[in-house]
Amino acid sequence: MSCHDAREQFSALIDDALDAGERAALDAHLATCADCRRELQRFRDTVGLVRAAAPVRAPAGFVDRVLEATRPVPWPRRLVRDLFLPWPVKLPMEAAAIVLVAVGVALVYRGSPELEQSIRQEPAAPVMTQAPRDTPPEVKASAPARENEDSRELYGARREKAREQDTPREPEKAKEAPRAQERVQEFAKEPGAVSRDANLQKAPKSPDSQAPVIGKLEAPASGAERQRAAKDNVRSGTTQPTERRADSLKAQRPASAPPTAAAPSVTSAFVPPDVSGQLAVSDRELALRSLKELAARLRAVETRRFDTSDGPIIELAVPRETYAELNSGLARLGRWRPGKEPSTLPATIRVVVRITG
Amino acid sequence: MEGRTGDDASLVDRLRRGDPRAFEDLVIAYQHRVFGVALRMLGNRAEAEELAQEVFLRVHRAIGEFRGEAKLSTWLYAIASRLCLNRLASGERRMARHGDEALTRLASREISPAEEVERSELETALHRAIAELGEERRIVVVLRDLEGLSYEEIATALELELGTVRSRLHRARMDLREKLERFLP
Repeated sequence: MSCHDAREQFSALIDDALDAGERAALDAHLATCADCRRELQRFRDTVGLVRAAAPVRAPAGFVDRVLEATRPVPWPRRLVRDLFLPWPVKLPMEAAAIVLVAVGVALVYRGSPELEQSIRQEPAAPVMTQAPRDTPPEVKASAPARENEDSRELYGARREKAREQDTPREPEKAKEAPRAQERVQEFAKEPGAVSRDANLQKAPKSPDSQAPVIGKLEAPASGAERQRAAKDNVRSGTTQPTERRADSLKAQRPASAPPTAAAPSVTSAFVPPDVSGQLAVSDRELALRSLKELAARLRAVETRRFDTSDGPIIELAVPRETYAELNSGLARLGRWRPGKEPSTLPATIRVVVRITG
Repeated sequence: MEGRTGDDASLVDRLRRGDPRAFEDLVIAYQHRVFGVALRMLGNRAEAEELAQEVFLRVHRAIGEFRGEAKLSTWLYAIASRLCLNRLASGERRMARHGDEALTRLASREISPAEEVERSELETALHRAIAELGEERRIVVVLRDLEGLSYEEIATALELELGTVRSRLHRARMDLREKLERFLP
């Protein structure tokens, strides 16, 4: 046995893992080799050092932590754990979710004022445009006006807009026509003219309970409208219930914006005329008579007439065929300055003639 | 060894019967040995504790599968060794190579200050020498000289031939003999 072979078996010798034959052969070599004996001793010492190493002890609380880990996790905690682990994956997702929710909330909050406004507007708008129209003229009492008084006041400005938007609506116009007729008849029964200015001052002092309502109603309206209302009151006089005037006014207002963009001087018309103009004459009475004849000849119907301190204002419904003739006829009566004509003339053209001079 | 085997047999019986105290007794009985293997192999206390916990959790889950063909201790060492070698083989613990400082703090026996200095030096050298062994040799010497397993038990735990265990152990000891030369009398 060589020294190398002998030393290869030192480990097994120390561990008593050699069989009898191996052990005998090794012992025989060691008996004759001092180097191998010394080397065996060093080998034995090395193993002794290793085996003498300080024992390792598990850290304090290790058993408890193991037992804790083996206990079944209650489902809420398991859920939480599942939600939050593994964090390298879940954390960014959760962060993203939080950001998303925050953005959503911010958007909703930012959108809410508009939402709120639109909700507030909804009920007010239809009340303004419908309530007066839906009420039959005979039953037009003060109640609806009073009910909507506040909202009208609040949304006066908006109502103006709504009116403009409503103008092109044909059904309203259709409704307007008979009402306008009716009103003209009413005017006919009315007593003589009163000063417009005087009436303007009188209106709020009227004993009629509705007078203040009118005042309020007109508050946000334009100056032209106020004038119109005042004139209306003049025509209606004392025999006409003031609220009725107000209601009629309201009823017509939705359609009042002139599609022809008529001059603001057309103060007499509740329904905007298609054409309006000024006829300067030297003799009013003669002009009125001539106009009546002219209208009769041209199959034009006088639909309304207002007498103002400046002179009479006459509204005529003229068939399209005779409209040109009316224009030339008016030009013969005096200095006729018609306003802008609509690009397309309706079958029946409403012409307002303001006689001055 | 005989006594422990007897304890293991009753412990295994209790574990199989579902005795709630049995698992706790198992952890108490084996915590230091399992943690010791993990620490010697990984060189890092935190990592060693994590791995030791994993060993017991696996035992807890798989206790029903334990046949009793090997000793309970061998089964535990087998699980611990496999987990250690797997972890060492994986790249996830390359940062945990600085186990030397942790290893120097392992000594906890009551010794004199002079002894402590000497011991500390020896311990440091010893653990460094063990740590520097190749993983396959290291596990064999840990199981044999530090944990006291027989060649057969090591062969069972590591699923190796007896000859392989013997030769690896011898190579490991030869390495250690050279490294610890200056501490030898």
